[in-house]
Amino acid sequence: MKFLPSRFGALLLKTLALYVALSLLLFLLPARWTTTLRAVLLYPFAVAGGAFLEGLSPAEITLDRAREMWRAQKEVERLRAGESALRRQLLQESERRRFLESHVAQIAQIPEEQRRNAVSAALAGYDASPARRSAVFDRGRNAGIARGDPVLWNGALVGRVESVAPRHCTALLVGDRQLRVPVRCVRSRVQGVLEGIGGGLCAVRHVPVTADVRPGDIFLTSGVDGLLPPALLVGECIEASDESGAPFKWIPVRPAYDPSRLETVAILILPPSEAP
Amino acid sequence: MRRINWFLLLFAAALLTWTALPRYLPEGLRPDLILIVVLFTALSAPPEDALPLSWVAGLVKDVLTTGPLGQYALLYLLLAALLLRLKPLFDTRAALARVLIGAAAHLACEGAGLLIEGMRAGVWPDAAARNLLLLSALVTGILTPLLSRPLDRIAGRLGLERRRLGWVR
Repeated sequence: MKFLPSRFGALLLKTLALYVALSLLLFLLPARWTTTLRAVLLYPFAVAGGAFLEGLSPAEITLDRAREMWRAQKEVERLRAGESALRRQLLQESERRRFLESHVAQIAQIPEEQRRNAVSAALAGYDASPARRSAVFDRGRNAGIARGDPVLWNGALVGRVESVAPRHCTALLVGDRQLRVPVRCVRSRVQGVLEGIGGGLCAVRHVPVTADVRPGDIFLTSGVDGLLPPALLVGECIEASDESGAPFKWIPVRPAYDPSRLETVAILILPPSEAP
Repeated sequence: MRRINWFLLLFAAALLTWTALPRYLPEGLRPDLILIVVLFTALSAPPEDALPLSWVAGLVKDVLTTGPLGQYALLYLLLAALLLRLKPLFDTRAALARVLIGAAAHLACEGAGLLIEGMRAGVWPDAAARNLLLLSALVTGILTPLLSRPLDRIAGRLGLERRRLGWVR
């Protein structure tokens, strides 16, 4: 432990005694004197304190405004997030509604007497090969679909079910080389067989060169094979030409459906006796 | 120059204690910045200056309160004298020591003030006032190292660390 030197210790004691005495003197001063003394001593603090608080006010106002702006900004961000979530939800709901409406629309375009046997299905995927035209739909045997059932889109023939699984089915589309559909020209009643020729087009085969077929003629299913119902729209003739010496006309047909717009289709469930 | 700096420091501490702290702190909570200045002075300033300056700081506090004039002047003077006497016994730079010194000093001074007030006017503090006193002492104790450390760093510029021959710090 270190101690203060005695000379300074004595000085400290004297100082201490002096200020203790001063304090006691202040204690003993009459109230009116201490009031006056206090008022005099308080004056600089009062002035400075007032100025300080006055200076604080604008700072407080600015701080309050900043705080309000910060809260408002948070509120705006919260509302924006809510709006964005609602917008997403609305889009999802409208998409779901559009999806359901498209299903209903596909069914609605089927003749009324066949409507009870129709199911709507959504496209699940296209054929991976560019040489083939087929598609997979999300309904299958569980929905009553069987091989050979016609697939319709907006009342037009899209194809025919080729294979069926419990929860999906694969259909050959009009335009595939393996799909042959007996058709009839609406205007001239000329009959032929529709086959795929590649590039998304078809051609009506076995039409004699003397037959009356013109570009723009509409072809419907004839139903003569007993596999497809008659009077389903198939496509439109885009050319009718006679090759020299050939016994049949060359009649390319554009299918009545657009593969790129296929989304939902109606599949007609044929009675078992009509299935191939 | 040295005393002017010290008076400015005291003035700022008094102003904050008198205006800003009551405005922004919870009702009744009053950390004593003037006391922290007194502690800083007693621990850092030359001993021959510490006593008068502490007395002046107490007088300023007396002016800013409604108690009897000279009460805090006497209390802070005695506190500074005690600290000067006890300073060699412990490490006054340690944060924990400063927390304890600040809290104990606040408790002692305010407790003595309440005692004097009770003896004079017969009004004794209730439980809520005692709790606030304890809480204020705690806050003062926490603030002591937080404020006195920066003050220690600028003490040289303030001219408060002038060493004199013969003094053992």
